[in-house]
Amino acid sequence: MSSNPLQHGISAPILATYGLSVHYGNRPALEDISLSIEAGDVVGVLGPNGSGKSTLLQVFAGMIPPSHGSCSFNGREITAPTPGITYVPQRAGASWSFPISVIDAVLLGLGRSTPRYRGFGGNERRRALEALRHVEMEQHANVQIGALSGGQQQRVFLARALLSGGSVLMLDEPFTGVDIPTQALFVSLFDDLKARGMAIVYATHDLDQARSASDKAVLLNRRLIAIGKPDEVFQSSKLQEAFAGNVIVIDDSATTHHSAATVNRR
Amino acid sequence: MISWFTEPWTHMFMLHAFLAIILVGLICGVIGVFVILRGLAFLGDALAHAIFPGVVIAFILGGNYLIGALVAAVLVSFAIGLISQGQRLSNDTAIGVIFAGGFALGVALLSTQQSYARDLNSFLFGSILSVRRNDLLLTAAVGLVVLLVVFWYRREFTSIAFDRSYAQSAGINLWAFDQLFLVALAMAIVISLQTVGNVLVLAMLVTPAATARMLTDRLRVMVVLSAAIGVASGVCGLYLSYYRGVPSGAGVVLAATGVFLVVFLFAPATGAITARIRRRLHHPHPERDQFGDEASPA
Repeated sequence: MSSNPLQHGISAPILATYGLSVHYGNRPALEDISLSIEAGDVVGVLGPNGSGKSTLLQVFAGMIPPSHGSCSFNGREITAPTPGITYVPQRAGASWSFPISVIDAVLLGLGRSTPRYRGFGGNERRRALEALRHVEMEQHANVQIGALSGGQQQRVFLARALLSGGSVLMLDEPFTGVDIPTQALFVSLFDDLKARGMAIVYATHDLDQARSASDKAVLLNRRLIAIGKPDEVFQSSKLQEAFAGNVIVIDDSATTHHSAATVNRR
Repeated sequence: MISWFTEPWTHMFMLHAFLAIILVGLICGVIGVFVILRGLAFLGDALAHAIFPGVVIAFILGGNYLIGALVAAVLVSFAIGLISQGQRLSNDTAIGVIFAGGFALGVALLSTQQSYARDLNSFLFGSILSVRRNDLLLTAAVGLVVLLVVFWYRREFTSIAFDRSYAQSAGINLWAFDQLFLVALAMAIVISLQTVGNVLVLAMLVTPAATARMLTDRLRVMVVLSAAIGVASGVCGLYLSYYRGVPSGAGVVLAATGVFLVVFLFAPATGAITARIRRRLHHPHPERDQFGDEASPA
């Protein structure tokens, strides 16, 4: 993974923030975040609930404007959703009782790129089926979306994002509540997309997942605690800082890996 | 027997009434699909009440009340959008405030008129016999605009109803499309006031669409079914009104509710009774299964 030449600063970052802050009313969600992400990076964003993971992704997706600082895509300031960045929201936000088939849900990824006076034609449907094939869901194309399992629903979301294209994928907790085969499929798909030069940024709660699936980890707790290779970022002192002390770190010296469990203190 | 069906159509006022209710059934059936899929039934009811002052002002000034209602509807939908923009008040709270306030203003304005009781009655329950040619033309024109808006922006409305966050990230302006939907919904309500009245217009938006939802899992089919059920209920309701003297709005809504109940009980896949019969056919003796030699299929 570290052999990627883009990671050594040869090219300009595909995504960057400088002094980025976001406030919801008087409540700060992100404060003074400066980071950069290169093409071909797979980046796991970690932090406790309310640490600003989703907010950071939504700023990149152009859905939330920064209160201070800046955020750029290929050197251009992000002020609105850009076609180059595709966002995959949390599964819980969608209406799963909606009367729509899997393939029609994926076709929503084409958005407004097809003329309005006609429906989606054979070419668009072939592309949608191709996207479904990537997530091994082609055989479920005509199934009602509510009949799918959580993992299958997440695959459909990913297929919709693949169909809409772009060079950056923002995924908000794609591994939450999905089965292990789906997690494995996503990790291998991330590798394929990365090989094509795409950048993938995803929010997660799972340290092990972030370690195995990411080139880079971002540790947040409203402020940027650490950014870098997962093993460097997941040091116990940094995890303690990110999770405000509500963390138990079990040091496994044979593997030099840390496992961490967060503890709610009230 | 045939004359039983054709007789009402020979009267000009009934011909107008049939044409009006067909238009209303069609338009409310189509936009009603998005009303129920987005859970906006309360908003539909509230809009119908909140546009009352527009109707009354038009009536007092001697103008066309459809136009008065339309102006009020646009103002009300923007007001609801504005109030719920802040973080402290939810959308349904904003709707509640505007809904009651608007209706009270309408009642106060109408009470200044001599024919208060009769006018209030026709507004609340419709006065289908008073539909004139000009009303029909306006209904058709407004209805066409509503249908065109829904057709032209069908992808945006579908995307927003299915997954609002994704729709926003795909560059769909949620505020603008919410306002557009509110205005289209208000237009559909306004053209229904004369036929079904203010109190029962909600049923035209919700009942055919809910019935259609029980019959299909496909949005396109649901839209067509909902429109068809809306039109059929409207026509049946008018026959009920003509032959039984039931007020037209009540007749139409009773017909729609009847169709809903039949589908709720007997829909092939989801009906309450059909599902029970199906289970019985697959498991004729459920009490014996646990003692049987072979496990019954799940």
